[in-house]
Amino acid sequence: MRLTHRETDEIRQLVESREIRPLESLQVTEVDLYAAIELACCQFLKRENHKILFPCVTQWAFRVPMLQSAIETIHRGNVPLRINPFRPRPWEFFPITTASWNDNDYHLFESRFTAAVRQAGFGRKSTALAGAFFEMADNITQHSGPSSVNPARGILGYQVESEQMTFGVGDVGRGVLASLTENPAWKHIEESADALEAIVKDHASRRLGLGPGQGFLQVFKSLADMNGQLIFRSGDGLLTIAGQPDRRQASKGSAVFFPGFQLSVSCSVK
Amino acid sequence: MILKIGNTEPCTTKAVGATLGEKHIAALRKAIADGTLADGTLVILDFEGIETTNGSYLRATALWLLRCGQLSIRPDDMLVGSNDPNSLRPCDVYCALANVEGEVAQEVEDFFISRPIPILIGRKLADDQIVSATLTGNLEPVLKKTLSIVSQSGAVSASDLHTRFKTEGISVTAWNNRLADLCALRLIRRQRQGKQWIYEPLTKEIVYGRGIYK
Repeated sequence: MRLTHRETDEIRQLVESREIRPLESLQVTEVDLYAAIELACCQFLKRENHKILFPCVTQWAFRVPMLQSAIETIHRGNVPLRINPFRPRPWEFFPITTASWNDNDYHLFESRFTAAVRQAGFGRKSTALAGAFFEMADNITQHSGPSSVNPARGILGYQVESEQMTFGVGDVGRGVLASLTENPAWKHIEESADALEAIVKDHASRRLGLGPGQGFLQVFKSLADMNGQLIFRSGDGLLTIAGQPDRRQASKGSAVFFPGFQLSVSCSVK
Repeated sequence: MILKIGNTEPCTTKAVGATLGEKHIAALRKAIADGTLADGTLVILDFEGIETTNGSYLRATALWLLRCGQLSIRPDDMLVGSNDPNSLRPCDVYCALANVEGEVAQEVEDFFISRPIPILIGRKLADDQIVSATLTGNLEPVLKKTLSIVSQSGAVSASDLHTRFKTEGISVTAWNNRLADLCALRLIRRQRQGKQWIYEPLTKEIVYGRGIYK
């Protein structure tokens, strides 16, 4: 079975209702990047319910190298010394443990991402995509905690195949609803899905008096003329956007609660 | 005050992201929060050696400083008083940019063209001040004309302009409003002398557009 954001929602449902047997019987053979990031984020959680999930995810990770890598990144909290630090990889992860994550290790990670995306056929668009990826990562520092000095823990990851790429970001912080409603202009929002829609589509920001947020503007600018699929999940809200540039369709819905904010952005050359 | 971004910790050639922007002007933010920044300080963010920037960085640095300056002229209780160290604080501070070229210039233009606050970009600097500048962003024609007059004439009051341009039929109040608007946009300075405000330019020369003919 391949896990995507749809299956992880069902897994959360099983966890909430403490249905252990169906969880244990899942034969997971593959995960997409979004699922890897969300399942890795589970490792941060201390809630009793999620203890049910830990052994299952660990078991799945034995058979799924990408999930194993995401979990190891979370546990280790740093990037291992690598041979050929400039060599692009088909996928990899990077942990966010402090506000000072934008260090030399990250620069190497970013340059590998850029090179991998360029080699996959994206050419000069790779730099813009790296910029958008950085912005989404910086959002963890900016918004996951009560101040940018103490962000929640998080994880970044990318996966690149021929003419396709996905990057993803996840944290287990306070989520977009709590963050956005710090701004009185957005105080009226009560649902996580509405908060997601406001930040992604209306560029709403928790920062007072500084106009629209810039991060998601940069994401859509980087995708400019490409087909894309974007998945955003926070609290009990879900927002997906897909399609061609001038006909992108957004779909807002509810999900089983999970803390923080996770997202993935996929696009193809054609 | 010139802040050389490329030499400010953490040093980089990529001035991107809100977090980096906050770090680069952390000392200024602290001085503003503590009330120790001298009134009328002009902060010139010097992009020499910077290869790229983005909207989040410009929002956390230049726009943040400009908005703090605006609030010193036009207070807004809704925007201040938060415990967040990154929230806006009224302060008589000005901000301009320098050595903005290539990709950085394009980002700056894209950022400021979409909002109601323009910014000066120094073309020639001397002694921490701007001798000549371009203006990026939108400015109403009436304010643009007033800015040119102030730049050329030096220190003026609304009544000076009313006297000098009597034939144009613009009242002292109207001149005063225009000057106050320019000051709120952080494009000219003002000082109270007796009962009136005296306005002064931040630069003697302003070139509009990209200044290709200069």
